[in-house]
Amino acid sequence: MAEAPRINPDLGFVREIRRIGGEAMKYCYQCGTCTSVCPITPDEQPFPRKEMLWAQWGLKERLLNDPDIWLCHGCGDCSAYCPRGAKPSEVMAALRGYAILHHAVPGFLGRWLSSPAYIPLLLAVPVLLMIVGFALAGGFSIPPGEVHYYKLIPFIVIELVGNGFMLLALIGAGIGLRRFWQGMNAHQAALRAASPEGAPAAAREESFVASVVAVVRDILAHRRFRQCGEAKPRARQHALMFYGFLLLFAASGGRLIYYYVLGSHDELPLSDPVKIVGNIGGLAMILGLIGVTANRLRRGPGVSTSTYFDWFLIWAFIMAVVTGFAAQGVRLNVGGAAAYYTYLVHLIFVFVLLIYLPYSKFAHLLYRFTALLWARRAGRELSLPGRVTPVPASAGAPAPPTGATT
Amino acid sequence: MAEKPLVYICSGCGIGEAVKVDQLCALAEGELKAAGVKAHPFLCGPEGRQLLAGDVTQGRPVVIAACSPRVNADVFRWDGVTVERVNLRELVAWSQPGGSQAAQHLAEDYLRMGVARAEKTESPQPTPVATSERVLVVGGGISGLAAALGAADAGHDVVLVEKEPQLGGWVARWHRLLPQRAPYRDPQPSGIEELIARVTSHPRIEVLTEAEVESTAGQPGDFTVTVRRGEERSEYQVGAVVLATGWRPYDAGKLAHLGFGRSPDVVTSVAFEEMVRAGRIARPSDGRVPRRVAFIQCAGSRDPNHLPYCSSFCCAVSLKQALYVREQIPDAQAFIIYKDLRAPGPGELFYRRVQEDEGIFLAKGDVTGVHPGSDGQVIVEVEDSLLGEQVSLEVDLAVLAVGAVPATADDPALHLRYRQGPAVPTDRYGFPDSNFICFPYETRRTGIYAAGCVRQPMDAAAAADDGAGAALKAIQSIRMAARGEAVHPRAGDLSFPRFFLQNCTQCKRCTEECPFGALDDDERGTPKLNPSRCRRCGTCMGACPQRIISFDNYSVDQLTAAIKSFPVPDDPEQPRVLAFVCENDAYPAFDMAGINRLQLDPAVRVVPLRCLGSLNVVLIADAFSRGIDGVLLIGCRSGDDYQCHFVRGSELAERRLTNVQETLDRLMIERERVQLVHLAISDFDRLPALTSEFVAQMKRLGPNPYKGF
Repeated sequence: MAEAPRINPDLGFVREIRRIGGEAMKYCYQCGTCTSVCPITPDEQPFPRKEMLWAQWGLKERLLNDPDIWLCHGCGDCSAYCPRGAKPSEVMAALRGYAILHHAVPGFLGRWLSSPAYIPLLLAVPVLLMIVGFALAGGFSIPPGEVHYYKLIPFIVIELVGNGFMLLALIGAGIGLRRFWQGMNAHQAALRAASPEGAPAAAREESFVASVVAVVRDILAHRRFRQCGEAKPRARQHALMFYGFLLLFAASGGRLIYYYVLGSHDELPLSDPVKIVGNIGGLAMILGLIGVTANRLRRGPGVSTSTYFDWFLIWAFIMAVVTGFAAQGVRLNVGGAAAYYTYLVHLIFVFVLLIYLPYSKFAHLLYRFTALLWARRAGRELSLPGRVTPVPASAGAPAPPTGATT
Repeated sequence: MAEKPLVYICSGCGIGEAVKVDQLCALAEGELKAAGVKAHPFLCGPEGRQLLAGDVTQGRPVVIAACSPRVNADVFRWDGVTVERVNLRELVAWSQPGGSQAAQHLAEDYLRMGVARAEKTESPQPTPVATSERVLVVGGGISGLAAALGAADAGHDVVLVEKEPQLGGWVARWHRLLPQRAPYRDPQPSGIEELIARVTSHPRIEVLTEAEVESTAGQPGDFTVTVRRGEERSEYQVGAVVLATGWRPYDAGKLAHLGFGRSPDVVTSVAFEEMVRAGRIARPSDGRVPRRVAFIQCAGSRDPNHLPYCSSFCCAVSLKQALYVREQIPDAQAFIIYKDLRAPGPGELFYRRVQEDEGIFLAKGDVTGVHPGSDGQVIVEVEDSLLGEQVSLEVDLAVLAVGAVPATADDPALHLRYRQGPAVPTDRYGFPDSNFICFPYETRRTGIYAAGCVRQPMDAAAAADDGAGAALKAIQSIRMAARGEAVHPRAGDLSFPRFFLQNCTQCKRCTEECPFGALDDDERGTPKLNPSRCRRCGTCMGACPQRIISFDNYSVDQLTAAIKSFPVPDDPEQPRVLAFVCENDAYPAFDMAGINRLQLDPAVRVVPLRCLGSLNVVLIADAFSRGIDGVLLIGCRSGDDYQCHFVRGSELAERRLTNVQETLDRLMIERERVQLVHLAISDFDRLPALTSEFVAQMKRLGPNPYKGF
């Protein structure tokens, strides 16, 4: 018999997970209530029971490469039903936070996002870039007349600086995600080796593109998130923010088409479809943010824990959206220098939101998508209502045992 | 024969609506020739009580036909007056359709049986035992110390016998005890030295160390105990005994599969505790301080090949010992691998506290092997845990949490001079046998009460409480013996079996079957009575083929008279079934059925028994000779998880029934006409179906062939 895998707890990891939101995790006594009430866990090797044990035991490598921490949407059903108050949902969130920071490339940016002490630094970077940008563009002066932002700073500068850094960030994220993908493969191989009969079904036989399309479709429909019991409002709030963000993204794209393709440099009137789309998106974001914030404040520390990691993203969104509306309002009603300054502040927060994306909680967008895609490819099928679990092409193999038997 | 009784019939609580009370009165006056008959609408009310108080006189039995004998016992009780209760309320009015002819017949038959019983009842004369007030405590561990102090503080002289040179037992060898006070977070010093000092300085306690009980003779209130110290023997008269001989750890030598003996760094939890108490946690192999320590739970426990039971304290002990590791070794890691973590009572709070420690790792799993690693470590193989199907831990020291074996498993301790042998009877695990749920501290030797881990595995705090509890039971048994009363479960019963020894054939069934070893042999081989050992269950009465054993108020003769007191119709459509019912659980179940207004088959006549063990098989023969169509025996569960209040009564009834069935075969009576049923009080809802199905079966069988003879 091959030597059984050695278990080596990492005390530092235990401490860190407890510090960033999983402080109650050691109370878990592995009853499995979390797993049995979870509406979105797969039947084989379900979560979060095993993650709870691994976290208590400080099994860092397993958890970092565990797709399941991302298959969880943190609806909190498990925390609500946990008889020990171990808050599995919060532990899963802490694990995700840790994973984002861990996979971050370059690593120091991960650290920057982990503590409020770095906030001045985070804001200094875009300000500095802005100064450099103005220097490149030939100096800073408030243009006279009707407010059109291109007069202050050519859009091409914003594109170059902003997108340039965005690109760097995304390259970093790509490296992290690649490691994550390989890690998940290794993780699954290890699990299979340790527990052959409990292994997930065979890999799905479909093209990569088809998998991507299917996962995107699921995400657009919030298919998994909507299964959450305790946090029905959270799925709605998430959807508002999600679609609000997409609309704003689309509006930004539309604005660029006006600028570069149609050559229309002036700010658009409110009646323009691009502005309408943008404003609807912004309003949706605001509604979503109000809901999210109220939700987190109302639930309070006794029920669920909101960490700096959570609040950072929420505040980044709030600041970006509020300064966006403020910029629009000042531009239309006040004009002059005030309008330009508000706009610059808005640009700083948009930068914060987008450039730090792979290192903040916003990175869940990348990791969850990747994990969902991997899970679909790996046949780690989710037993959601309304979806027929396809028979693997290698039908005839004995069906894996269902239910939480471990 | 006793006087004719006075009969009082209550028509309250629905009895008056269910049956014709005037007809019952007429029956009592006429056929039953009662000395007086009165009906009253509210017999237990002030007026009714006044009526009764004016009538009852010494020497004349009274029949109260009203509610169950299980209620209003204090109302219908007068000193020196025999009272028979006829249960017209629960057994008739509340369990039969009102006004039916069948219900009337049932009530009449119960009244007939009540009067017949009353006529065969004497007021029991107590059999007091000359009493020594002294309590013997065997074992000087924490239970024994607490028992000695408890009894002494209550004013009893105590002899405390300890086989070791020092008092204190295991607890004196522990570093810390499990937390015993809120908030139950920290292990605490045992304080055993103070307890020992209080015991040794107590004027009422005589401490004998390096001493053993050589023999124990006699009975509660009057035991003669010989204690041996070295070559010196001394005799003590004691009234009762607390058996607190404790436990020993399960022999780790049998746990080679858990690495014991294969690596010096695999130790038992007892050895580990002693190591900590000695001052330093170190590996026995090289004296190095271990950085990683594994605690392996259920080492031999809950394992059919070793100790099949749970020892209850080992989990909490390992939690405590994991804390030692964390407190004494910086940055150490402690692993606890368990089957189920069981920390009963406030142990739950302690468990949570230990869970908080980041360096203590708990996981459910099966330890499949422990073996030495290549570099002097110990490898622990774990299977079927959430950590993986097969994982291993590399540790510096492995601690086996071994379970408790009761001292009584192989040591008779008291060396009883009883006909049934020197040992207190034990269950299959070696613990003193008892109906421990109903009667903690009980053993099957009256006046001898088990306390602490010899009774069941428990932690030190519980063991101390146990000692105090057993001391109280010991004192109680001394007092009751002095008054000639039975101890539990028939507490206060003054009746006592009388043996008509002229007719004894010395078959010894009574002496052998008595669950409590109450009977010895006298010089001629006939039963020698030890009244205060007796629990008054009547098992001897059920055993005796000569029917020479009777109580003043409970006898074969009396039951036969009751069975023969009512007419059995010849009509095959009207079968009659007799239900012999244990008073402890089954009879209350009938009451419960009535209280819940469940309908019972009116063909069934209930005859209460002290215990199914007191059923003499001759009664079954009597029933069939009377033309009864079927006999139900309803008693408690027997076997390993017996519910019998007299431990072996229901088991003996079952054994006797097999003999009865052979007799039935000879008489050409179908075996199915006698059925034995186990019924707990909570099974009362089974009674309607149980009775009606049995009656239906009797109808299918047709009438008893002896009917009408």
